[in-house]
Amino acid sequence: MSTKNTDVLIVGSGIAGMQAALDIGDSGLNAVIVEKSPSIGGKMISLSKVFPTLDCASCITTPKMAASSHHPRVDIYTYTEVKEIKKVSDGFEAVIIKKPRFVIESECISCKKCEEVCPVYVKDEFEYGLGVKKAISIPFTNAIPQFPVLDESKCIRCGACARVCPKDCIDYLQKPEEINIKSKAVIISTGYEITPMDAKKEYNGTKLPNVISSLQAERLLAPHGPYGKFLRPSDGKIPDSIAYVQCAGSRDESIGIPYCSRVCCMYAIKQAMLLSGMLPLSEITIYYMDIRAFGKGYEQFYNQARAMGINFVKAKVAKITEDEEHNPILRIDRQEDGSKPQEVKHDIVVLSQGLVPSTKNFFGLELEINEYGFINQPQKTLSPAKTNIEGVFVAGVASGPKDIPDTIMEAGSAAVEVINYVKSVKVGS
Amino acid sequence: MEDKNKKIAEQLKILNAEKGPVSKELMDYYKEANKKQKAILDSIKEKEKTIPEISKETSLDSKEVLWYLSGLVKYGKAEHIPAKTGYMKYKAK
Repeated sequence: MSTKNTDVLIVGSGIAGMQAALDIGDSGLNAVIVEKSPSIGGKMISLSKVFPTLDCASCITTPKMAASSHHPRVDIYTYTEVKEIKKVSDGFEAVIIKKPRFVIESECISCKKCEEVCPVYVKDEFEYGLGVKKAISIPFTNAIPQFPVLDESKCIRCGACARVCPKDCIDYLQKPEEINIKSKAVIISTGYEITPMDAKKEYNGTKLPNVISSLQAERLLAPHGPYGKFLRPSDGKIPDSIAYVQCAGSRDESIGIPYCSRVCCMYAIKQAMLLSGMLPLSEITIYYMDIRAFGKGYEQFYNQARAMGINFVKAKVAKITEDEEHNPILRIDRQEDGSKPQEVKHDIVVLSQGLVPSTKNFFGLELEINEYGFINQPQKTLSPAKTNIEGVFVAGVASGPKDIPDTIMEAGSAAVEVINYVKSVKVGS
Repeated sequence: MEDKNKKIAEQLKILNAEKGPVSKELMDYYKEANKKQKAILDSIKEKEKTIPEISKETSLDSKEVLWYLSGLVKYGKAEHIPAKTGYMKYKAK
């Protein structure tokens, strides 16, 4: 097992992890980022645009990805799992496992010839299952690093990729590699997952083809999305009528997620506005309990959406079913005019799911977590990045739902805290 | 080239010995997927068609047709003709 020494180990390479790594690197300290996916960038790189500015998400994230990967004091391990992190007398020792891509990275020139000749189509996780990739493929167009990954569970061992590779860098016998990372401090920036599609059984999210997740909707809206246009998955129809169901995975005691996820109102409004531009003839309806537009410029954004003709209906959606043509039927209870429950039909429904922690097991670290699995911040007001363990810091959604500006700000705060901590340890030792 | 092919064959032989042969389920999936792709491409070889039309002609589920077409377009074997409403049409390249 090889060993790598660094000042700060950062777990997770979403926008929080990358921002913290860049600030730490710029300060003169060294950082190692460990990312479980084959590319850095986190969830943000898969988003279409950001609210309330409607800037292209990729245009913000890609430069950060490039800067992180080229920074002389930042080392990145992608497609790598953290097995454990232990506190030791002079800092932390982590064991990480670099999973095999079955590609010799030092030789690969990212020519994509292996992907072109591979005959096996598989579901593309980057498109949340909507699109196609090959059994060997580069994760997505602007992935960093640009190395393909061979999915050995889908490989039919035809040898086509190895035969076409001009650098002979396909290695079918590659094995996982264990690496020991010694650091003085750790930042946890493991981010979030969205509430599972089957969390609310009444919505039949995993059964009805035209009930999709908010992240699938992001991909359909993205310029290089899976279908090249916003089409409904059951038959490729350009939808005339689109509905958003708010609080479909948060503020709901019945699914154990009573908290507000803070971003769902705004991302639904953003998607609705983008759809309104992309499909000007379509009718877009947002079913909501309250609109929580709390950030800078958010209220204006909401008002702009109303002015654009997006329908906001204060109603709770009780159930979603479908007709024989897979058109979702929503049973709604309006909350404003005292009308009776009614059924409304749409072409496609997007569930505005909430945010839940991506992991509840923090690699053996005895971190205090709250009842929902997010990392506790014992000094939330003065030192939000500190955790209950000295030398372990938190950034981003790992400590609770928040939007991108707050995540970036918190990552900067975590970097400053960790720089001060590492320098104090160095002076003290 | 001969050396390269020999090395690949040796690696695949070791892999088969270590992990056993490729499962029948995976090979069946692959063969089936190839047939479906071919049926879709044959359907749009002469004339551009919508997904419901391709689905009817090939007897494949329209959801599946869309999924395969997304791959065929991505990997340059088909193209779509943009539409503002209704259904886009697809054509083999």
